Amino acid sequence: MAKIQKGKGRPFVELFASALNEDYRFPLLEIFCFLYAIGAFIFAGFRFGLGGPSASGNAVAYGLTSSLLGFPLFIFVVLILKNVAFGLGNDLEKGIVQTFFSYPIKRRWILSAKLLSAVGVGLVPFVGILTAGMYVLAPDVVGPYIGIVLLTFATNLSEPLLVAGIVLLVTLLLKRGALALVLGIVTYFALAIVQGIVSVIAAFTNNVTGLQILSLISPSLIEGRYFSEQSTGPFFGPTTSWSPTFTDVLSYTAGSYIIVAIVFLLGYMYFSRRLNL
Amino acid sequence: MNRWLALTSRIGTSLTAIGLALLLISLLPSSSSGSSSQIGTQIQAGTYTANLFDQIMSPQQSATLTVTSDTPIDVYLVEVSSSFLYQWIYSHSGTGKYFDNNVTYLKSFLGNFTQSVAYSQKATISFNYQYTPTKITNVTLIISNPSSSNANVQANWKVSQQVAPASRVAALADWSIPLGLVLAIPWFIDLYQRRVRRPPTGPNLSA
Repeated sequence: MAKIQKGKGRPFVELFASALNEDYRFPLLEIFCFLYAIGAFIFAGFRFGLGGPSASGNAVAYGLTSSLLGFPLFIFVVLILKNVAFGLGNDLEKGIVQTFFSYPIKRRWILSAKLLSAVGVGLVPFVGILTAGMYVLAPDVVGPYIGIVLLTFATNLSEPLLVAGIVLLVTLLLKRGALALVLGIVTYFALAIVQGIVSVIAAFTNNVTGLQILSLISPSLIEGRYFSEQSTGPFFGPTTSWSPTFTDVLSYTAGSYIIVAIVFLLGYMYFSRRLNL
Repeated sequence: MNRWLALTSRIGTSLTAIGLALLLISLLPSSSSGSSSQIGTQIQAGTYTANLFDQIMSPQQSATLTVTSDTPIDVYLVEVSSSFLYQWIYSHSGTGKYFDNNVTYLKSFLGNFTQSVAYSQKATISFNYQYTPTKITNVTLIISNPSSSNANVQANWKVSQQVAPASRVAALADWSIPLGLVLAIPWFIDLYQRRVRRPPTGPNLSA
């Protein structure tokens, strides 16, 4: 158990260090870094560049970034769900959170320390290694279009973060992590299946309402549609009633993060006011 | 162990893991199934040719180019298509000939597109270069013969597929692995000390 020392912010640092130690036991972090570094090169592809150098730099940067957000994103999801569900779930089950409540720190800061370790620290190697890997591979694609690269990360990360928020809520409600972890993984795959179904419906019925709603949860859909139309024209068959603009992409991304923030806020409110142990 | 030392050590072990991944990537062989060609041609005095090698390449491709000549020639690798080159010369030379291959016009083009020249070698009889682009780009090999005698040129090129530019990735691995190991030294010392301090266990101890 972390020894709490006096001083402003010290309990937070102690809790954060303790959470880091639990979430990233040796060699877990090293294995994930290894997999991210491998994934940054193995999964990289230049699908929007196939049309030749005439393809816009933005589209090529988007295509390169989205190409390697398959397997590495999945292992990132596994990491953060494991950290949120098992990290917090075990603390709740074993009564360690009760001990945390006795520290001279507000409840919301306890949860912040846990989430900063579980999600925040997990994000650093994920975004850092993949971006650096892409830069090594194609500096003239990543360097001038770093904004698009980061936007693509943002659009692809909002759905995993939403699932992490749901897992946090379920963990707090059930006070155990295993079931929340299973539910989180099922939700993640269910969303992927729903995306496929809604895309097919949009392609064949010209009804894009479902696609627009789902883009609020997963803005990578609208971003993919925007860049595909920029490069190769409409790809949802006869669907021409919705050609998103770049402002739409930004708006939907902002909207998705508002939803993520609301889910995490609910978790904070429950942890701060309703959680009885 | 001090918290900052522990953090430094974990950064070191992570850096080592990344370095090992990069080393593994650099060891992956490039695919030999790419296109290749071998062309022999004669370039007349005071002219150039840009038709021997002209491709769209991505950073996951690498071109090995070899040119030999019996007369000193200038070799340029430019990141534009040959059609763009000829079009530019056609519109700026005023001769009315689309494939005007006078070296004077080529020099004018190269003077205006210095940023497009990826590599060049002048007055050479043997050119050997491996090119890996840093973006999706057109690549054209230009062989210019500014001398007063004809040049008999033999050009070979081969494009191979690769996961990543091996030399760049290997250079990074060469730095990150030793640096990571140095940063992780406190962790190794701590691990060793803990093992030394651990009391021996076994069934005969109580006897």
